[in-house]
Amino acid sequence: MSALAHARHVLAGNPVTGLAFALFALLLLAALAGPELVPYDPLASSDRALSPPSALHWFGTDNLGRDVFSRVVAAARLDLGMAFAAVALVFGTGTVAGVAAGFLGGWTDRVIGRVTDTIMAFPLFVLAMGLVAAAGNTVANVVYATAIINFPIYARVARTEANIRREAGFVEAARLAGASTATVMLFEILPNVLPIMMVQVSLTMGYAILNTAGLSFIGLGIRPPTAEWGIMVAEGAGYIVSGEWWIALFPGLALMLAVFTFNLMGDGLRDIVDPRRRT
Amino acid sequence: MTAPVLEARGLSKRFPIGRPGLLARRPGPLLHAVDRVSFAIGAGETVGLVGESGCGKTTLTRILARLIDPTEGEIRFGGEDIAAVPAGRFSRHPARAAIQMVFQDAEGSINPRFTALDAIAAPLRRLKGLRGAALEAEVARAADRCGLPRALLSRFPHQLSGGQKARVGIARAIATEPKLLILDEPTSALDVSVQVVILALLAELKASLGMSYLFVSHDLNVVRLICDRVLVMYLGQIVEEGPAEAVFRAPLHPYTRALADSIAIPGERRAGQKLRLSGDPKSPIDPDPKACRFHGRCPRGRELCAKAPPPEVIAAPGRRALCHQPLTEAA
Amino acid sequence: MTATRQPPLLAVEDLSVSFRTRSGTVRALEGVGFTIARGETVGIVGESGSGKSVTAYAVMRLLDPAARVTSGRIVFGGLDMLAADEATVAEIRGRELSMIFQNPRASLNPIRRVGAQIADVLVRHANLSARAAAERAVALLAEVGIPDPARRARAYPFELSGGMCQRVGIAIALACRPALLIADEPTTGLDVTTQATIMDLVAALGRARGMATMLITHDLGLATERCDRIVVMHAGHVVEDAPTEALFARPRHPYTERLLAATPRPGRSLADLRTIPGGLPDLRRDDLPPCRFHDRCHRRSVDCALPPLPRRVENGRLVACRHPL
Repeated sequence: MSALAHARHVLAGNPVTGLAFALFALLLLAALAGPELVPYDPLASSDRALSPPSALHWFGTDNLGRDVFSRVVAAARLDLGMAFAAVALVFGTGTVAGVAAGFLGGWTDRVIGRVTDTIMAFPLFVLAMGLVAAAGNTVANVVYATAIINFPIYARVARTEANIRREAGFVEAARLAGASTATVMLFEILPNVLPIMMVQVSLTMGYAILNTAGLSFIGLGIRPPTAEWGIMVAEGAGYIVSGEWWIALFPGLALMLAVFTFNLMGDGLRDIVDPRRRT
Repeated sequence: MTAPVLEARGLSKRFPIGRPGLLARRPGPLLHAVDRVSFAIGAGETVGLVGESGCGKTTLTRILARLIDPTEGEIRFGGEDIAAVPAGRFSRHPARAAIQMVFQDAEGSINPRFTALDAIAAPLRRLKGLRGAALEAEVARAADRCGLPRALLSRFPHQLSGGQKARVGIARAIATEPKLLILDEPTSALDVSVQVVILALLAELKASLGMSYLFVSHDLNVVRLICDRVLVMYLGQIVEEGPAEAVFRAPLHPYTRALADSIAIPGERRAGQKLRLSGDPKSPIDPDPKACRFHGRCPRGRELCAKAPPPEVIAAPGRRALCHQPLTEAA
Repeated sequence: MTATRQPPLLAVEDLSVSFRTRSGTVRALEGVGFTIARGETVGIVGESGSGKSVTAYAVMRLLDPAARVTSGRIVFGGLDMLAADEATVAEIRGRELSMIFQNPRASLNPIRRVGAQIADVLVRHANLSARAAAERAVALLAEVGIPDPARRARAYPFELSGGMCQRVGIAIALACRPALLIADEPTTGLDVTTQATIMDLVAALGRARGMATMLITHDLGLATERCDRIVVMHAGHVVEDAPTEALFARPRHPYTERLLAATPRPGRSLADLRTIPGGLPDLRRDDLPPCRFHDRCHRRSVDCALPPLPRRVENGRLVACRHPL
């Protein structure tokens, strides 16, 4: 079965995964083309402040008269982009570090183990806050901080997967075929570790988005007037009591949708990538 | 007598157990996995290696295949001592292609993300430097030799039957036309009807490629069937060696006798006294150098067996046993 | 099949089991029938895919949820196992009917001490108090030949060798003195020398208690040594059923004959061994011939493709073949 046919088979057999991928496509569209397609400029204020959802403004307007719908859609690019960057960074470094630790053992394992232990000694969000506050309130630092706090989980999962395969028959067979240790790690172990990491990637995307939004919510990271889901929830929080529920709700729903989508995608991704699932 | 293909001289492997404390004066306990093993494999010969789990045969095969280093000893192969080359560097040694291995668990020995073609191509790519069309041609040749239909080359291991996986493992091992093939229980996971075919294939390949085999198996009926000579291992030592038929028909060492007596022959209920072993083998950790390692489990044990290590008794050329009182025909 | 007039301890009649899978319905067993008398040791012999393990699990009523028993009866000690409710069957399992498994280590709970695992069965089925059960567990460990049983009862499975784990498995299975022990490839994970001592133990305990044994194995040598009678299975069918000596002295089904011809034994060279052409039929097919050995058989004729599958019973032997040897 070709890869594409297999992908179709997986999606056909599992409608929930199909739904997840459809939602992901929607989010991707919002991120890639959103800011160009929205009806209003996300930063443009108007005099129609605090108006509820209507035909003119689907999600209503906020306290500065900005269209909430446009801002929610436009924010997708920033939130998803930052999360993606952080996940790409931690996926690369964490997986390689974990595989090295699990396969080589010895000092490599000990050093990487201590690094992950140190990170995990902190409540992760607090650590992210501390890193951003200390290093400076920039988008790049939020990305780095998100990557750092997710490093342990990648390193640990990769380490376990590499460790159980360390003594596998195919590793011995690879050595018999002339593979060096580096070759074994990269071409024998890593391809087997990747399917499991794919699930992790998906879950981490969810965390990363929440992390970014969370940091912005408390004032670190992105600053107003930039459209970003966390800031919007923060800004809208003050208006819930007075009845303008739409300002916080819609960005909140967007966050929820994004995290939900990535969590669902995890299993589906693994089914597609793992050749053992092919019949 | 032509020169042997491989000669092992005094091979030993000791593993440190646990970690001695920082201030320890003596070394920590050592597990003696392989203990001063010496033997030779001749050209075109099939030598069997038998023994129970924990006897060291797996460690010995890994040492001979140069996947791990011995603690001491020599392996003479192709005119040099390949044990002197560290295992980590052996992958680049010219002799790497000449010693290959077939594994018991064929599925586990093939990377689940590789197709059969990838698996067979790997040694050809790395050890013979083949690429492209030349590589594909050699892979096809190896597959044809092993009776593996070319259509199956694009399949993953979990899509192949037991017999097909075994053929992939063999095709990969013979692709570089090695001189010595180490077979670690190659048929124990196969049905008996498939085993016949695979054994016949192995016999045919041995003849056509001029290889020697080291055949490890717990199925003594199979060992008796295809091996010229047999080595019996117990707790890291070779306790008996000789022609296969002679070793099973008239064993010298009591352990071999117990092994021979435990063979069940399909279709024949055997009458007569059977030697049964009680308990488990002694610990291989820091064994007593002044006693026979089989003492305690041996039904023929005497005082001497606990006080002095057994000598190597040469009963005939190529026939030896490590015992204070080897069995004779009358025993 | 048996010489006595007593009703058999276990009677499997015309049992058919199918499994629903993503790629179709697998007709794993079809028309399987045999009996086991009290105290008898019957071997269920066959290669992989023959259905021998499915049969064992069906008798224990431990089949996978995807399995469907499409026909047949299993009568154990007078009880219709397939019709009885789960509570009744659960009472019987472990007490009258028990099982030992292929991988001894895998069938023990790795995080509990072995003595406790034996005591579990006693508390559940023999109504012993916790303390009495613990004491009896130590006694059972001694009975199965484990030295220093009081200390070993407190060991975890990883501290014991494979042979010892299998002995513990036997202790658990025999704790309540079952009438029938099902042994599913009990020696596969063990060394040759250990295999012999374990099977000696099972035989001795069996004789002492008048226990019947259903020994499932692909190892014909083991079956020869230990079984009174042998049932040969192929692709979900019983193809032959005969006393051990008679079966091997004169196999009547072509598959049995070929199986023997493929098995290495002393005095035979590699050239003497013969293989069986082809492979198992795909059990998902709708058009399976009535004889599932048909496509691989060198003795087949045109009428072999016609239903029904013939079953001939002569001299206490069953052969499912139109042209037996």
